[in-house]
Amino acid sequence: MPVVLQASDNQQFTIEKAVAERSMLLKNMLEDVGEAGEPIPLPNVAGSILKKVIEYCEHHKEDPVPSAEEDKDAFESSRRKADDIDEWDAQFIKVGNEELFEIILAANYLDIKPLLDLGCKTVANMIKGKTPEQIREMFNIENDFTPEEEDQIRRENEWAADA
Amino acid sequence: MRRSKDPPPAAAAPPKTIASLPPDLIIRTFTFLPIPDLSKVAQVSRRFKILVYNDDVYEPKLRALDIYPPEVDGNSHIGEGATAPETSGLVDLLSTRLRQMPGGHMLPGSTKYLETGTLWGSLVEDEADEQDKKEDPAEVGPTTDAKDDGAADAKDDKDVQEDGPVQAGVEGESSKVGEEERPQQPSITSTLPSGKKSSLTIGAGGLKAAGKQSNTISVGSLRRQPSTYSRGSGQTARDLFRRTYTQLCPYYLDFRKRQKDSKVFKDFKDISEVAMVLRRLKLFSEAHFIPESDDIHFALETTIEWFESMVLGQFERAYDGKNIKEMQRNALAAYHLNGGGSCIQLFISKNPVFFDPTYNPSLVASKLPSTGGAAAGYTLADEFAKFSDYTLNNCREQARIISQVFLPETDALTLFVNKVFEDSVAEYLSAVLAAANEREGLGIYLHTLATGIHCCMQFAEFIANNDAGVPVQTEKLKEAVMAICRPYTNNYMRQEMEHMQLKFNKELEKWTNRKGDPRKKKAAAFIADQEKAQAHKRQVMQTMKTIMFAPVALGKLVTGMGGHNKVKPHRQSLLDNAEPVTHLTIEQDDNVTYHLDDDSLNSLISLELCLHLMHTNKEALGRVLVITAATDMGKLRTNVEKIFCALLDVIGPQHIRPAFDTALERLSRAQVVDQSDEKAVNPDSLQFFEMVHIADLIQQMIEVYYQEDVKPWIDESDFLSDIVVDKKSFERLLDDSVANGMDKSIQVLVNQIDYILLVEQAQKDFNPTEKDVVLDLKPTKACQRVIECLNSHIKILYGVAEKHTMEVFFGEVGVRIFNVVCKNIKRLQVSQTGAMQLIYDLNRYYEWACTLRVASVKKLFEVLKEVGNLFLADGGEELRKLVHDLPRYQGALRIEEIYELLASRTDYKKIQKYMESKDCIIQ
Repeated sequence: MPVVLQASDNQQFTIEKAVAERSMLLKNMLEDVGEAGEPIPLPNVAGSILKKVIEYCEHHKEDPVPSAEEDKDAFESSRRKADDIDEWDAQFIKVGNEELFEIILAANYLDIKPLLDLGCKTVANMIKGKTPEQIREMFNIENDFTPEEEDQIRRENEWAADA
Repeated sequence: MRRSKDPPPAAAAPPKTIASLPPDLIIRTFTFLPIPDLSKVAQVSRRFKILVYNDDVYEPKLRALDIYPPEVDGNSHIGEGATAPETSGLVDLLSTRLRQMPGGHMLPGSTKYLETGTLWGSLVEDEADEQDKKEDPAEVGPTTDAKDDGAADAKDDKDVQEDGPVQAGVEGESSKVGEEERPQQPSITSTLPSGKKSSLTIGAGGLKAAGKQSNTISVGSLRRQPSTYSRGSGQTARDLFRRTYTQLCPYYLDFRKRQKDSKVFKDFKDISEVAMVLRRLKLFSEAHFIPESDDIHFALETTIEWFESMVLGQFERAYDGKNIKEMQRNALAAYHLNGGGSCIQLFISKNPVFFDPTYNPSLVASKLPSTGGAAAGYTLADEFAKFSDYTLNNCREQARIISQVFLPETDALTLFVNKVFEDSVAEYLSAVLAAANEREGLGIYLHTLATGIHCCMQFAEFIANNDAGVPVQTEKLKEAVMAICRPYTNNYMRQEMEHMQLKFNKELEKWTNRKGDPRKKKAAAFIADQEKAQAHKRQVMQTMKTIMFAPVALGKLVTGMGGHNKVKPHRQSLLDNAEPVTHLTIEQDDNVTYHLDDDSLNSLISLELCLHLMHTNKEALGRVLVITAATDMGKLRTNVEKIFCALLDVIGPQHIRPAFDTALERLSRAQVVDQSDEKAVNPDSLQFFEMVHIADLIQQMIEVYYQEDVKPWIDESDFLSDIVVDKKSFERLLDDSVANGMDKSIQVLVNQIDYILLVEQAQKDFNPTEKDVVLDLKPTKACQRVIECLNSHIKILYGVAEKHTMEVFFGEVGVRIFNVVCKNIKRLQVSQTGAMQLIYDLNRYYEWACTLRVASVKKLFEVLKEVGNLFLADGGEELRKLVHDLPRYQGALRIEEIYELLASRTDYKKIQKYMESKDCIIQ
């Protein structure tokens, strides 16, 4: 039984149930509501992003269902290295900054843990090895520290600075 | 600076940036960053700084280092743990919202604005930082805080110096620690999960696994910093992580250039400390805190391998030199390095127990006495018990060493004893069983198997109570025993039943062949005398009880095992229990039972046989109890039922029923005997009644056996269970057989009486030829013979069946004898003179009837007495009244029968008309 998803821009996508169930949100919803056949509105996700997310789910529909245990999930992901990304995923996530954050938000909203981690890892990889100034530039963040504060923060974090 | 630059203009749908992610997602992103990058992120902006300082970033890292908050699954996580990020999350959310609102950019440093209004304001936070700085030295003790990188090395040196004595002290104390903890040990052993090895991690994880055990176990300089933290007390996950990180990181980075000459080996002299540091560095490495650290990781791994082999080498040398202290030192190091599994394996593999030639399995066969026979076979079991005892003592000795060398957490003794079971015990057991099976047959094999399992189970129990106080997981050991025995126990029940059936059949066959022995044909004396019979029965039961219950049978011992809580004496030897299982019984059996049957000789049913059968059954029951209790407690009831039912099936349908069938058949073919024997009891009847007695004895024996040995294991209230149904049907079989036999024997008795009367009762007894013959006022000879015959029959019946059955039986006898006597009268001619003699006889019969103590019989014979008057009365009116006074006969005689009796009167022809015409008138 296919599932119909409707993005914020009213774009509709018909997908397999197994694909939809990659999203914990949709999985629970389908369990609760049953298969009504009505399009499921996803007002927080734009059509272009939803398309991207569905692409990810299609590719990963055979994966084992991730553990529901939140704590274990956090523990596992912290042990994995940020650059530990498989080839297809790496290719998939090669997108612009803006789209990347949209995907992360959508993955969070739809509750797709592996995609969320993929997004977060990608962002982490972007941050890795950069100076504070480079990070600010990359994400367009304003430096709201006074020079004194900035100096203090740097001293405060010296323990972690050298590797 | 950047601050002067305007934030991006707010739009209706602003382009997504990292700022548009909710705080928890940003934190999630940060968790993937290596540590050095976290410090960079903190310098990016106020918001980033707050987020990157969040404990959620560090908690997974601490977990990766095996450091846990005090209550991992307590409310700390749900309570405080959840509120803190929530609060910060709210702040961030609010600030983000404010920024995105039109004119949001006008807010001067919006986060700061919000922060100052909350606990998370910079002022408060700075204060908190100050607080940390003040607190830290206090917590770490006299050493300086790790915050000063320059001082870190100095601090480490200090730590080493300071911890030297501490370490030594702990070393000396470790055996004491074991003793102090002993009261707790039973509970520890019983509750620990079987997959224990993984929980043997060192550091905080080890602590956690050890639960509330005293902190003395965790030693070494790096342990001295607080290994737990709680958010409420101001000790944040980040603080704790920072301390751990700054301690470990220099050592870790040192591996980039060095391996065996690493700083670790310079700074720490004690190998346990080195082991602990290496262990933590391994975790540190696996958590990937440092980018591009594969080379370090590899160097570290190599070093750890090298270090472990060094420790093991030292341990081995210490073992060879019997240097307990050195062994303990290295075992502790191995434990701190990786749980010490390899060290325990080394200890086990070098242990002389496994090379002890005293009990060599290959010698099992040669230990058997060359002479065959039952007794010889049992030595196999005894040999095994001796071997178990010997091994147990060996293990106890090893337990003392283990208690000194290994920490209780390593569970070394369980592993050791497990290995003992798997190697020597299993090997010896299979050798013994093979020998038993090949050379001695199924019976000895089963006995040996039961003894073997029993010994192993006791072994597991006793070693848990070793005087060194080393905790042992008894359950795990028992599982090991099970695994060893499984190939043998899988088929056990089937073999046991097979063996029992075989033995039953052999006994039956043996008995059938002996049945023809003429020596046994002499008559039984006891049965004639009721007192004697009872005495004999008592004696038989006594003998039976001594035989069945005298030796401490294997079965009794299971009680303790079933309960699991029975405290067994520490030093109890396996042999005390295992040795005298059956030998005694065999001898007694042979001696006593033979004369049982000599006395109560009976060719159809045999007490001796039944006793043999029961004995076989009891042996099997003992084995079943031991083996089932050990292998599958849940099946205990069913298996006990199976065994007992087999006994009932063999004694009931296979022995008692054919015996009764034969007896019944003989009874129904019985010829009346014309013998001068004063008792004049039909031999077939006598035999039958004897048999009833014996069957009753057998039932009593079975009942005693059932009550003593079987009942405790089954559920009597379950009236649908096989055993209850079988027992009932056994009892019914016996009752039915007895009832059928009774019926037949009554018939035989009646026939006999009939025959006596026919032969002995002379025609002129009640019709004397001479009118003036002098009556001797005695019952006739025939009558006396009948009474004698009846009495001798009745006597042997006492005690055969219960009172109610006997009443029914006597009632039936009464009625039949009554009819026989009536028939006798009808056959004869009775004159008025002879009527006196008849009345004497009838009175005698009445007297006898009274001895039966059955009301209905007494009444019946009262009626019979009245019949005498029918012959005494003159013909005419008096007689007519007598005849028609029906209440006199109380319904026992119908009018037609009275006419028939009257026909025996010598003057019947004269009065016939009168009587019958009167009859017509009345009618």
